[in-house]
Amino acid sequence: MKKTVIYFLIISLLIIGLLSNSVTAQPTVEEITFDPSGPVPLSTITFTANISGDNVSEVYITVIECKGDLCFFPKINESMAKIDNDTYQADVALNHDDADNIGYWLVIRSDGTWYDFQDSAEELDLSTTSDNGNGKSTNGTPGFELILILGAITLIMFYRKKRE
Amino acid sequence: MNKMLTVQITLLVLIAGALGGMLLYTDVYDDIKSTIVDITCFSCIKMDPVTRIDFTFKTVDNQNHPGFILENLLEGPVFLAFREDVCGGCDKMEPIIQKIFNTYFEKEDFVYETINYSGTPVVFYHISLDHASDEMIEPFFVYDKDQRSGVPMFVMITLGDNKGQIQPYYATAYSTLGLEKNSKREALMREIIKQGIEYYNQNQEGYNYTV
Amino acid sequence: MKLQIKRWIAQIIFLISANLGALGLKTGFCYPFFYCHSCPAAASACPLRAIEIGVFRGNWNWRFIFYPVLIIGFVGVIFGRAVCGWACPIGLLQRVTGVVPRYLKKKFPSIKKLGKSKIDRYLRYIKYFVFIGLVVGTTIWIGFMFTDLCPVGFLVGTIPISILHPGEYVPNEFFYVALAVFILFLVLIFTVERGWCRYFCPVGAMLAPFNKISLVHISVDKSKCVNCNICSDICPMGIDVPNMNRDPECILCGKCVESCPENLIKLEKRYKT
Repeated sequence: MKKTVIYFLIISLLIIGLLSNSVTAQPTVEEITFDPSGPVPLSTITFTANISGDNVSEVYITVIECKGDLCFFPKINESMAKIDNDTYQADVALNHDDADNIGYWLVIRSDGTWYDFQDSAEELDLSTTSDNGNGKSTNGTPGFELILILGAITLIMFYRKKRE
Repeated sequence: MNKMLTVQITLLVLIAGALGGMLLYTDVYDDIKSTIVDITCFSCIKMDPVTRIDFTFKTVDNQNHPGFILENLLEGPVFLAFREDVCGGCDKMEPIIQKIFNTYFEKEDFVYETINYSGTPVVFYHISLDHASDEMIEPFFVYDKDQRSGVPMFVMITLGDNKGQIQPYYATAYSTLGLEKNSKREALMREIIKQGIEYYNQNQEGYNYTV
Repeated sequence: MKLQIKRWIAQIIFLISANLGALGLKTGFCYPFFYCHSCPAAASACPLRAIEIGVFRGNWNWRFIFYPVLIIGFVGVIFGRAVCGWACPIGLLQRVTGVVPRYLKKKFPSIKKLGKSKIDRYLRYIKYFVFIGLVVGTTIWIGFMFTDLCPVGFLVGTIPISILHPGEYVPNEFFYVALAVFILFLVLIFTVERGWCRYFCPVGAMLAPFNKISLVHISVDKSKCVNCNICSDICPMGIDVPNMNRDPECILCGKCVESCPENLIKLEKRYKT
């Protein structure tokens, strides 16, 4: 009786061990961060991904640029470089000046199998300059400082006149 | 000095200075002109422009029509629906296309089916740019009339009379057709297909293509 | 030359200059009066639209806010609300349609009484609410703009464009409401003389305070007034003229100046208080 119980326990432990091995074989994407935080069209975004899993051999980030409901073809596929134990990074240069949002997800090769995480693709709105201003910075607006200064002078003059 | 006059002159100088400064040192004049005066303000006239789809003979950069398209035109007008896997606009238009053509498919599927559209055979293709073969992706570049290189893209290829010669005549629509409501999108799509069928019926007899 | 004839000429000149876009002249100015840039012949932009774009949903584009305000301020400090009486094309429109309310006033004295009642005084404040509420307020927080309903846009934009480009446009979500507002606008200007200027014009709301400090203004010598009330009767803005001192409602049309039998009213172009 005791022997059967011990055998049963050992075999279950082995099975659990085997199972957990295959479970950890699928890599998980912990987090993808990007910089800058508010990218504009045609800029380069640095994506940093935290991936957990053993035997990860290749990581790609796929980025699709869209303008409203129209998504541009082809997508961008960048290979990510390993910069740390579980951290991968890539610089992605955007190509479309009229894009207003992007979708991004990872494709990971682990243990010879490709895992495509497009089902958990994330979206990011691009900061476009408002459709009214042209994003040109006004180089010096002497008009406004002038208002404040002269406004102050006017007020002072008024108060002086009031006292008289 | 007169108090009122002081106020008037000061204000005038202030305002003139500020206005002059704005006109000289900022591009507000050009901005106002380009964003308000030069464009048609749709919200001001409380109307929206009608979305038009035009048929044309000219392919992008005068590329040749793919052989399989020319062949399929012997059967009926050809409808191409292009998409990519991750594409919001494609997801929005997919159910409408499926409803119009009374056929079901997944987003990655390649579909090649002759559909009976109200009595007329229409050759329907659903092509995923992520999964289909190069031969099937080729028409995406040939018929991208507005050269947007974007999906969803829909092409209605029919036959037209080009100065006596019956040639492929096509119209391209993009994205959600510039319309907000599904009912309007479906209506416009059906309008395009109807036009394509009409042109096809007029010109079918004169179409010569030997495989 | 009589003042009123000078005024007709000025109004027609400004009407033409506002529509020089038909000859290809498109400028980056804002009209200092009430006119719409959606008119196919428009040469400049509506000041309200520029302000709306400047504040749209919290997108503070200060240039677009200050620019029309400064233009109106500049014109206002010099001319006060004379812009309304001498330049605004909608003022010209109401000058023409004004004969109907005048006739109605003569025929139905009860209407005259209504005009002098307290309600009229309170209704004048509506234009300030239109300006602060619909032009600025709702645009900042909701994105709904006065120009979505503006009857003048309907008159000089929608109608000409529908005639010039038939079949190329479909009504948008605001079309039918704007049509209703337009019909009400027409009813108003045919029943109340300068009704739009009195009660609803947001540009008038911006210009009105400048009457208090403008260089050009109306002065009344009350001491010699014989209380014949001809001036108040003839005033298109329904102002109690003998008792007015730079009234913000005064459009400086000069009708009172010409009608006073004792010549006590003057259109001052200098800096007298």
